[in-house]
Amino acid sequence: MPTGTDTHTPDRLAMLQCVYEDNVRLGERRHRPRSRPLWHPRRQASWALLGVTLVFGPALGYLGPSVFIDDHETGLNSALQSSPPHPQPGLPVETTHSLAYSPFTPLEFEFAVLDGPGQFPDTEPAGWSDFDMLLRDDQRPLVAVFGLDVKTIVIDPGHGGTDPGAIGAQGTMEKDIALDIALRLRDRLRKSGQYRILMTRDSDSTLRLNQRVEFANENRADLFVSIHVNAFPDVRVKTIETYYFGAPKDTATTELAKLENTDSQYGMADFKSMIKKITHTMKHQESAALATSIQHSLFHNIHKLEHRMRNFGVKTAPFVVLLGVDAPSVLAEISCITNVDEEMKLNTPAYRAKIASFLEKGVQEYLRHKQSRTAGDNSNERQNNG
Amino acid sequence: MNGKTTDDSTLKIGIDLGTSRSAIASSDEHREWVESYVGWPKDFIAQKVLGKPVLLGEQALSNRLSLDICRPLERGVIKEGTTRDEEAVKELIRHLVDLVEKKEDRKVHAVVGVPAVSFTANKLAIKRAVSDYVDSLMVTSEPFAVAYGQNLLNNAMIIDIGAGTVDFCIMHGTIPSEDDQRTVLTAGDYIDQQLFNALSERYPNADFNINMVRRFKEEHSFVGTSKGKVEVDFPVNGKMTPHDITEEMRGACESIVQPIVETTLELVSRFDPEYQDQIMSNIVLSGGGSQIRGLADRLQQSLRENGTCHMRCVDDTLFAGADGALALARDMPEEFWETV
Repeated sequence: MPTGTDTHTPDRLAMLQCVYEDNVRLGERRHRPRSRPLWHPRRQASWALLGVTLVFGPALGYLGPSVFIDDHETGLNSALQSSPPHPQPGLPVETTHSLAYSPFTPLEFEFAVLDGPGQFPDTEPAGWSDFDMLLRDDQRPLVAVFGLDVKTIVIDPGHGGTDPGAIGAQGTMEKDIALDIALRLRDRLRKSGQYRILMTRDSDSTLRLNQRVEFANENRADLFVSIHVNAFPDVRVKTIETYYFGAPKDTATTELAKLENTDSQYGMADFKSMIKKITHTMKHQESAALATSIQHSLFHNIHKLEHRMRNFGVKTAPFVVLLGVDAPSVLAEISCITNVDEEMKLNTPAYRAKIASFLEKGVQEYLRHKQSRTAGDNSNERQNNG
Repeated sequence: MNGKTTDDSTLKIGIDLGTSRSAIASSDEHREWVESYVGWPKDFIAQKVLGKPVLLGEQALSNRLSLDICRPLERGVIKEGTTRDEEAVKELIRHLVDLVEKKEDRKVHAVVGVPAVSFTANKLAIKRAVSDYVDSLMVTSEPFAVAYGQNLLNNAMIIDIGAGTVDFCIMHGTIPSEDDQRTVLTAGDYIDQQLFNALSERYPNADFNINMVRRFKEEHSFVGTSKGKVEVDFPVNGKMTPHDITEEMRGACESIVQPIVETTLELVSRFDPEYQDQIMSNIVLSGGGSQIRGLADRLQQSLRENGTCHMRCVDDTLFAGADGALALARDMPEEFWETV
């Protein structure tokens, strides 16, 4: 029977203090209200829209008045809605040209689901407007044209509460792994002090997909990273893959999308309105770049630890969260919970910490590259003006 | 302070919430434990027959055919954060607190041990479930509670082999961080499953379930050399028949040895090389799994292939976690309780 111990020794007092502080933090986490920002970074985008309207006025005029629909809701993005990214028949649905300015060599795309080179004609197709050309300019992604910055990053741990997500053979639940890694990623990104980092959920709570989307949009997310853990019928498979919104290229992806979209709570009318957002070229470009950067960092670092890890690459899929969020959005399947080895590793904090660090590296690499693109574009502009 | 209850108006308790058994120790010198099963009568008739709205522990297990039975702390944590599992944990806690607390006008301050690497969500769920029955509550890592209770605060390693998880924790004079701890799932339940699979394969016509297999394990588990044949009875075509399960038992129990050895070496190798030897010389096994005959010797022998190793078991595996949590509760300064 314990009788207690001498707490006068400094080590014991320090330990008791730590236990106490851990519990205080736990209580804070439980009661912390979701903050609503007073300041909206997207207002900057509205000013950029005004600027670009003046610069590209004639081109926008050419497209007619229908371009400015619902702009009170989506600001800049809605101005682009009436211009589909692929107006030419026979072209693929994806705007894969965005990958052309990726920071990575083609080697990284060897597993990516792309249609291969030559999807976009070298020469300007007949009938393309100036606006089309602006949307399709490999060298000048829209984010660089507009000089847009990233202020708010929303991290979305998949599933939660009554929805456990995929469950491993030993009972590990996707929702717990996703939450833990998301919290670690949040802490890491916060350390940079440059971004406002928000979580769609920071505890084991049930959150429908539309609530996640609304949370990101209400908080004016500039980037949206959804974290999931994959599951396969073949338990030997261990893979990493990262998605951004687009048409699926295989039946497995369609099936995965069905699973991840369960219970989205969106009606057909909402869906129709949202589908227009596919034409958000900028979102598409940036989502692809972010997905590529994250996939590169995740796979190449995890592959060093686990040589049997397979690279399923950057893919497009019609996940509701990726479609509904206004900001560039990706969904990372960081591991495979159905693989027993992976499940065991996912149960260790060290492995989860590593995955969070690789995710952070991917996000930071994307942000660095985005900055350099913006800076390069501005400097070219100065040179041209000079 | 100094480990004594400050006054009679506050009861300090330590709770070890386990997958298989949950234990409580109080500053009133009471210690109790219960099998971590909770059952609700399936229908009105069952409730009338059983005479209670909820049954716990052994009583729940023996009446399981009339109950919706729940083992809420699978793998040491509330299973899915569902209302039902939280409700079951609440019932367990209520029962445990009722067993030790007789005076209703006293405050109750509790420390609850949870698995080493319990996710925040699970800690919150456990906190939610316990908070209805105590006035102030703290959760802490289970192996840390054991280490604290055993006064193993520096250069030591605790390996807590439970039913749901095996928790590893290195103590180095400060509260262990996540990097000092590991949790693996190759624990008691894993052995049960291995044994069940092996017996199903060897005796395809025999009739047994996982509860029976668990009982066989608790009575006869061993690694290494057996002391004789392990023979148990289970029915074949409705007739109780003796079966030799020696090899299956050995195989199932030995299946956890390698993961424990590997995790121990991995965790120690990340530690300051100057102190690795000292930690390897001071490894303490706790939890029900440490009672597997020959396990400590086998682990020690395997770890000695890599250098020094001295391993021992705690004296009271059932209460080591609850006692440690109680020691923390006793030592915790009063002002901490007021603000937590």
